Amino acid sequence: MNLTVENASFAYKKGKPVLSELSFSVSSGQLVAVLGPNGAGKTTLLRCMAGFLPWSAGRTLIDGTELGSIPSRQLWRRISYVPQARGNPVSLAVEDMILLGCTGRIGVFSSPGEEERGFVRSLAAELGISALLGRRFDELSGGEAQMVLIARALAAKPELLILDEPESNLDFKNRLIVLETLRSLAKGGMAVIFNTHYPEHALQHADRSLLLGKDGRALFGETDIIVTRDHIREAFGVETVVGEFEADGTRVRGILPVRLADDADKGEQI
Amino acid sequence: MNEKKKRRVRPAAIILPFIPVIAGLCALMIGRYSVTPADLWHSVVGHLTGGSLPSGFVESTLWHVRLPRILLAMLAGAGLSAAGCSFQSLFSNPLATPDTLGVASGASFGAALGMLCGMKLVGIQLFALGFGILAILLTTLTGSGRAGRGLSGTVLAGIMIGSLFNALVSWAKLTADTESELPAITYWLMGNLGSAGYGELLLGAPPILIGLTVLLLLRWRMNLLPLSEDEARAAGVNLKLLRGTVIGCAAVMTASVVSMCGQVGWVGLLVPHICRMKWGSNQLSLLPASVFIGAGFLTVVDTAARSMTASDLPVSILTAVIGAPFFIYLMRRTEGWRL
Repeated sequence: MNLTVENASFAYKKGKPVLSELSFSVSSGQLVAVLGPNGAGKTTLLRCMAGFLPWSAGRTLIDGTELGSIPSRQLWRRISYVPQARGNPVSLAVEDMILLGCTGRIGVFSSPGEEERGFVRSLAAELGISALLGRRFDELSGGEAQMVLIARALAAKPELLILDEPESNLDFKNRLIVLETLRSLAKGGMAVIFNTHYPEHALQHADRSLLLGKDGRALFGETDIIVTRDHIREAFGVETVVGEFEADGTRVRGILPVRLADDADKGEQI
Repeated sequence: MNEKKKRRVRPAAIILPFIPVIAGLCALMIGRYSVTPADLWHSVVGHLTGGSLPSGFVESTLWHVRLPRILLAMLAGAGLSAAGCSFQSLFSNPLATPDTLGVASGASFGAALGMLCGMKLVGIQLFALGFGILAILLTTLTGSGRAGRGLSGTVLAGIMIGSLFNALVSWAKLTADTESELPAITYWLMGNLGSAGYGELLLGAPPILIGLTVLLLLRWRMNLLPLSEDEARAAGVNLKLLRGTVIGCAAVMTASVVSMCGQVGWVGLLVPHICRMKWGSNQLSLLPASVFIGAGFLTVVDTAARSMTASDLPVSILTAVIGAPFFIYLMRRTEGWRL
């Protein structure tokens, strides 16, 4: 499975491109981070890439076939999308919520059977959320809800997983749970691409990174080459320090903000 | 929240279908002229075996007055509940009713217009059905604007089209003859199941039955409707088609109900909420539950409406008088409303 975006641009209004001439790709086994400040167009990028919004120019290819020419039922059996978890007031049981991910695989007039239910239970066990199955989705905490949404996306048995800021509203522990889950999915051969506005999440977890600048252009490549002090200053307008720590024998890389860059336009940050 | 994970083997699934049947059987015997169970049994056996029948008066009360009325109550209750239940999910709004898109108002105007033109029952019914469908077409045409804005535009358009037709109904009342037409229109607007015979059912039942069947078949997918647009599309579902089908079914059912028995208020709001409180929001069980409870509820309420007073009480008055307190009681006893 390979998803490639070629020379793609997008503008809500003509002459005001949000994204311009992006080229990047994600393949099986890779974890790719899309990094950028608030309002840089990260969500727009994912929505265009997945075909929810049409590119103004350029295209998305899946294994060489243009995304728009794949029937949506077939497309959504191969790729899966996890939206930002925003207190959606859906009072379904968690098990049913995850089962909804199977909908594309079953007939239009049928409902999921014992086979799907068994699959969902084993999926939940794998993700460590079996205890949530009997709860109601609208009563979950942010971290729990995010894991359920990931489980729902995985219930479609996708080859590519697209996630929109899966860790942005979570605490330390839940962030780690989500990011480690993504990494182990990639290790298992899935292609995973996620949005984040935390450079250190890209630095610590992603194989490749796409750094969105304010002018709609982007840098793409190995995370080590992309997530650097200079690039971060340019994209976020923040002076940072990149460091490496050792704890319990593992090396952890971190990136800390120092101050706003001298030429940063504060008005634009808000 | 404590972990109470009971695997629910649902006795409700077995009991629910019997609720309208039992309500219907009881309703056959209850009324200003009460029929004993023995008479009912006698008549049923007589018809099945070709044996002797009870007196002609009992016969005609049972099969020509009460049965069509009970069948109508069941159909109307089931149709309105299913329509309300679908719209609440579709618009992710607990206040949605079968009339949210202006269908009932349109159908009401059609019926009022039919009465003004001095039509017979079937003519009025056809007019109501036609204007109900005209209303939903106007709503969907005006409300479907730019993609990605969700269904709020459609709801707003529905409210506008609804108020437009309500204004036209007022105009119809104003021009109506105060001796005969005005009372007829007013009475009809409050909902009355008494006018139905087998003829009206023959015309009005098929749209309701077809709508119910399609919605029931699609009920698992209807769980996707309250989700965000991207989420629903990412499930590999043709969201436009799904929404269109649900709106179409609910609208046709509502128009058909209004065309047979006027505006029966409250059922489409009350019954789905009562079922949500009791059985949760999964349409897999919610929709069938709403259908059966709706059918039973309206049968009971209509039986009360026709047997409590000497003249038929408009059923809308009773659905509210019985339904609202029951709803408040349930809301306070359970965890409250939810979607």
